[in-house]
Amino acid sequence: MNSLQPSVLEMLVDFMPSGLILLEAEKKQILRFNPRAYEILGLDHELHLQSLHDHLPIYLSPLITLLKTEKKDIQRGELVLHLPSRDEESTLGFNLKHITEETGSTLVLFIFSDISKVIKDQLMVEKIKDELHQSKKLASLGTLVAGVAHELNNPLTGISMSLSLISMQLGRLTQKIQPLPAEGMLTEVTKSVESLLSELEKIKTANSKASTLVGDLLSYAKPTQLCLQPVSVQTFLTEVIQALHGHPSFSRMEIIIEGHTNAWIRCDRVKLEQVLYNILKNSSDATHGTGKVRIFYSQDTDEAQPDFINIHIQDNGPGIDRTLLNRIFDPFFTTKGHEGVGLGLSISYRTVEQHGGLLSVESPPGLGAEHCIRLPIYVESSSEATRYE
Amino acid sequence: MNDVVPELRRILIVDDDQLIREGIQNYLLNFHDSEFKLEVDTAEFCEEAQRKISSNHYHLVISDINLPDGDGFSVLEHVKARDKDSRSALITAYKVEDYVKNAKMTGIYNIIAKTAPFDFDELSRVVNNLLNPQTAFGLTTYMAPNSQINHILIRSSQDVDNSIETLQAFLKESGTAHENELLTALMEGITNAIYHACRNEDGSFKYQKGQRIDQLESNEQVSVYYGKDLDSIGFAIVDQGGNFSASEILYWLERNMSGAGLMDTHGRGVFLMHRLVDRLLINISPGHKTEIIMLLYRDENRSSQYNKPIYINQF
Repeated sequence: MNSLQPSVLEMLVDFMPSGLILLEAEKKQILRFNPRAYEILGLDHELHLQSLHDHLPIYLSPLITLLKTEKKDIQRGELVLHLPSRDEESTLGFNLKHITEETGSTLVLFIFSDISKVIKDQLMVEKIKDELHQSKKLASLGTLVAGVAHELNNPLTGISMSLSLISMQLGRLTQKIQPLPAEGMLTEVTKSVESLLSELEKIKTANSKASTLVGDLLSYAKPTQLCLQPVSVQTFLTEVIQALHGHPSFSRMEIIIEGHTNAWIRCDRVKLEQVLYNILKNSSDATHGTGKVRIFYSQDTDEAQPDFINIHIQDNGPGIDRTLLNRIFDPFFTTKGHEGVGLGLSISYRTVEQHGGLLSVESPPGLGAEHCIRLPIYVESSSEATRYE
Repeated sequence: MNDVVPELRRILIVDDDQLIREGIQNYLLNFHDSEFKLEVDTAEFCEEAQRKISSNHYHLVISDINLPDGDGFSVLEHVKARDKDSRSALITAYKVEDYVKNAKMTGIYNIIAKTAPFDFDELSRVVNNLLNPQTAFGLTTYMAPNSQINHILIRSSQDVDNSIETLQAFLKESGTAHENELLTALMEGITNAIYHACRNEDGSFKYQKGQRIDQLESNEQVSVYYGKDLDSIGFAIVDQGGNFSASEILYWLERNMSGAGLMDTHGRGVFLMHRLVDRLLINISPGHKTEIIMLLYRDENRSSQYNKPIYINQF
């Protein structure tokens, strides 16, 4: 080091790609504050900084606190700041070192760079990995499920036929014995037939239940094609909520819709309505039918993908446990015990996927569940589409 | 008339599931209401079915698709080859895409859905319609006896406008889901019936879509029937042209299913109807009339979102 000229060191400090702050520890006097540091922290270059006690902007207070710490060992870490020049929080990666000089005074060396983008990219990569994993998992499950469901449909249909035939035969039997005079005998036989019929009804109910499940499975595994129609998001949501209002699960729920974009989507209204129903039904169940749901929608802020609309459905229920979040779209995953079979959200996921969109869920701690239906915006000839309004 | 001996009709049921083939046989022989005397045979395998078809004449063959030793289509082809007047139907898990594909490929327009609870009434109807297509016509056939069926006769564009109001009020009063879309579908059905059915002698359309019509000729008038009973709501649109063919219907269904027909101004109606109603029947008497019957069931068992059969009867 001592072979380097001080002027070269100066240049190194001024041109390094990271921010650098050098402080005198005791008086908090600023010895160096390189141009990159100004830039990263969004400070005016004209601002001449003398000491940390200067009137630094309030948004830098986490940084000031950090620089004032007395800890002497080397620190590495991340610092989150909310810089006014940015919409989102910025993350700074830093190294912090206390240097004791021969004179006895201590210097604080703080070197940092903005790693927000790296972190964001990392999160994005993880999210994409998760989604890929999710859809792979669902695809292979789908194949299995379709096969099993198809095989089950035959015996279920056969059982249903036999049950109906027995009922019909018993019905005929009752009619035949009605005119017979043997009174005591008659009541006994009639009673037996009645009890047989009521047993049959129980089996029929179970049989229908199993058959509905098979239908659900088939529709999950091999969804029918969509009947796409253009509709404005506003109209669609308003109509669905109006229609659902009469349903017992939602009559005491407070559902509000917020959104200003006049975007259109192409959707299968019957199927997408089912998606909303499934999500809202969960919200209703989570809040004992008396919760509040806020539905808000907006065009995607991501500049790379401006052609998507995000419809958020946020409830004020207890939310979803973090550990359950990545299983929520799995078939047969349910938190409702015997009440549900756990196909509602899996089918919904498929349906939104079929629309070229994505269904996701978040549950920030302390808040309710928030589902997001992400759909491509329909742009072509909206005037043509108006005709079908 | 009671002493008239009913004609004999022979039916063959082909399915490898014993409960199913014997269930249908038992029902048809003992509980089914028919104008004919029925004889019902069964077969478990393709080979067995083909042997029976070779040695007997069957008026109707109902076959499963997947059989242990082959597929049901070969059985049905065999029947057609032996007697082109024989009728056939498939009994299989219902899916509209498969229906259209099969119908286009094989000309089989009737599918009996394998589903629980199994709907024997529906089976009865399909069998009767196949044995005597005449019975397929008329909304009353599909509603409970003595249900009130209303009739609107459409003689002009003004009548079309009026019918919208009447149907809208009826839908509202009946409390159906998807009221607006159903109305759209009905309207498309009615306008198609006018603009499709009325042709010039060379077969070209007599009226252009959107053109106001003051007075239709008496043989061009379209009838709309609507009514409800305890279990269902029904509509029928009947034209006097019979110009709509089964293959045309399949064309539009397929086009709309694939999404290509999004902006089509006609044809979309049929697909919309299929999506919105529980049963869609299209009866065609070529050159005489086309009848589109739509049924919506209140009973959840019959209004399954997975089972919305289409039946096309053309004769």
